[in-house]
Amino acid sequence: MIEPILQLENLGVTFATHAGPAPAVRGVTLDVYPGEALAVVGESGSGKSVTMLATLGLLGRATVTGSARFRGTELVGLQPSQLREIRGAKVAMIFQDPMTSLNPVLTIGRQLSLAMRAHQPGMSRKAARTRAIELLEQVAISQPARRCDSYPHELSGGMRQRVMIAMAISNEPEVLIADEPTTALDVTVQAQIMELLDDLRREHGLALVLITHDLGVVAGSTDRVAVMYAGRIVETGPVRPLFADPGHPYTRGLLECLPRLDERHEVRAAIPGVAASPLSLPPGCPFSPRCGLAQPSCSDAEPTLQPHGDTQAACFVLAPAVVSS
Amino acid sequence: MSVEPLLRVTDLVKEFTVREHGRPVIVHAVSGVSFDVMPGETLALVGESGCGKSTTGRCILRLIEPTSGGVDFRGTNLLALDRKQMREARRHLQIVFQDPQASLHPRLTVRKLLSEALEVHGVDDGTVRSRVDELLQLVQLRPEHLDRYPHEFSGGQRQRIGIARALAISPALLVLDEPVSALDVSIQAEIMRLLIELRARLGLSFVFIAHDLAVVRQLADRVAVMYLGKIVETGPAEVVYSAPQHPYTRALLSAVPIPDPDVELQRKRIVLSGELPSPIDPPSGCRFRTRCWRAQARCAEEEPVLTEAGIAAGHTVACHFPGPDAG
Repeated sequence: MIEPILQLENLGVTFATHAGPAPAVRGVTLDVYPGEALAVVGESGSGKSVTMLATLGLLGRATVTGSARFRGTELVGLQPSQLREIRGAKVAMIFQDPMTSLNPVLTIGRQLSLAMRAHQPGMSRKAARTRAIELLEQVAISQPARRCDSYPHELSGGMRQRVMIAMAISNEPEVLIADEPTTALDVTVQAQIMELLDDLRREHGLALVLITHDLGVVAGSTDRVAVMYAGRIVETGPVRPLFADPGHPYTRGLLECLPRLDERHEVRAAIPGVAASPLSLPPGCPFSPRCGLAQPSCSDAEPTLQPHGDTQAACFVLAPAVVSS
Repeated sequence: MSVEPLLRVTDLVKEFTVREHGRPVIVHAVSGVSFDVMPGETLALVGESGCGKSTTGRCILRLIEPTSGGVDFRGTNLLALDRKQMREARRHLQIVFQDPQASLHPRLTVRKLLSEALEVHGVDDGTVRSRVDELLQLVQLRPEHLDRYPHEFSGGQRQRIGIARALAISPALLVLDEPVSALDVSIQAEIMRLLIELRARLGLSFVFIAHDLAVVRQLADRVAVMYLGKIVETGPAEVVYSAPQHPYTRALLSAVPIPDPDVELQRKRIVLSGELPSPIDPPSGCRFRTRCWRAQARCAEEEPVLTEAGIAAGHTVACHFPGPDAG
């Protein structure tokens, strides 16, 4: 049995807002296995990014509860100095907008060098530069030695994201968390970046956690999916059964309203209403006010993940709990 | 019988002068774009960042002044109109932007935002009230929304307000510049449905500018694919999607993920190498040749022009070596 490399257990994140506490993540349990590609899917405000930011201790003012372990080491509440030994070295993260993640006044080479030397104090500047050029070559940046001396603004969006990926893999992490890595990029550039991430995963055996709203990218690039709604995982399972026979009405709705490139079809607005706000969650199942299958009893309690075919879904109607006698 | 086009864009050129290292240089944003939009038709301008699709849309309404070329609306050359005449012409052509947050005044209520659009065009006070109610219904907002401010709405509702505003004076043509790109998928589908419904109900023509080719497929009658300021392929949407002839169109379509793992497993992706060249110094000949796997010497010397692809009427492609790869 392969041990998960990253284990989230009942992870919760609450923000204090002027309108009261906002529970953005409410009990997420999720395992990430070595070498796999896992997608965390959801719309704006579903809690998908916050879950991963909390895991890495990157949220300033928020109350984080529950547990997030990397190879058994508890990350929630870990000393900042100890957390830094893991974050950026063992678990790395890249973001949607590489421009805001890169320092505009430092050259690419210098930033790569800083990232490596922070985790490998013994590394000389010269060795870091040599390695930086190697890394840029690895992420398919042409003329890597020249690009080392470029500033971020001199690069295109796609190249900047490649630099971020080079930085993220510079310390040979075991997990790479990619938060909407291609959302700001053109589709042909997206194809290049997804191909690169896939190659890196295979070559280095690193686990990829892809946070995205785009089910198209999920279908082609990941093995397993967790769908989030209102701060919880509402469905999880291997990518094929989850697309073929989703067990949560929200997953079904998302798939139905997606326009497809390969056919002209009726456009279905399959999910009426607006997403539940963490400040005023409806009682019971948070999706019930938007759900076509909702029963009156759906407002009584919040469903937990139960088997539905080859996936697990939190829905009283499509994935009723098995009552053991 | 021949129907006259509602909009005819002829050899549209837009060059911006910018300073680079202190010296003025010319950005070739749009370099000779021509297309027709028939009454009731939706033409989609598609392409990636920097292809000139938005600039083209803005030039149609003269929100950006074209450098040269022609924009004829119902036979009138819009580029020859003075300011006052142009304002009058804008009754018939309106634009909807990607980000309604940025295009709606934050301190005005919906009532005011909509009335203003009518008053500008001299609609009398008596009519304004009833028309505002009508517009609200048209975009499926409720009467209680009238006295709210833009920030009180969700992104989807704000886009409805943007559409209502554009429709206020019953235009014949809407330029829609990425109208659903900023929205979550569930909301995106609602706005697409609304646009399809309004188009049928009001007999509107659309110039639909978008980078999302899956969205475009659901809405467009015809498609014009742009690359670096030029149309590389155009034709009936079904033909361009099912039998793309230009290597760029083929790469672009193949890059769009399809939300179906079984389909994705079978697909062959054409991953383009290299970077988009600068519009300051576009490649000679075919502008796509620096990234094209089929490029030959001729592609650098001779610029390909749009010619009939020979598959369906009105399907043209600008390529010396069009069609699928051999083998």
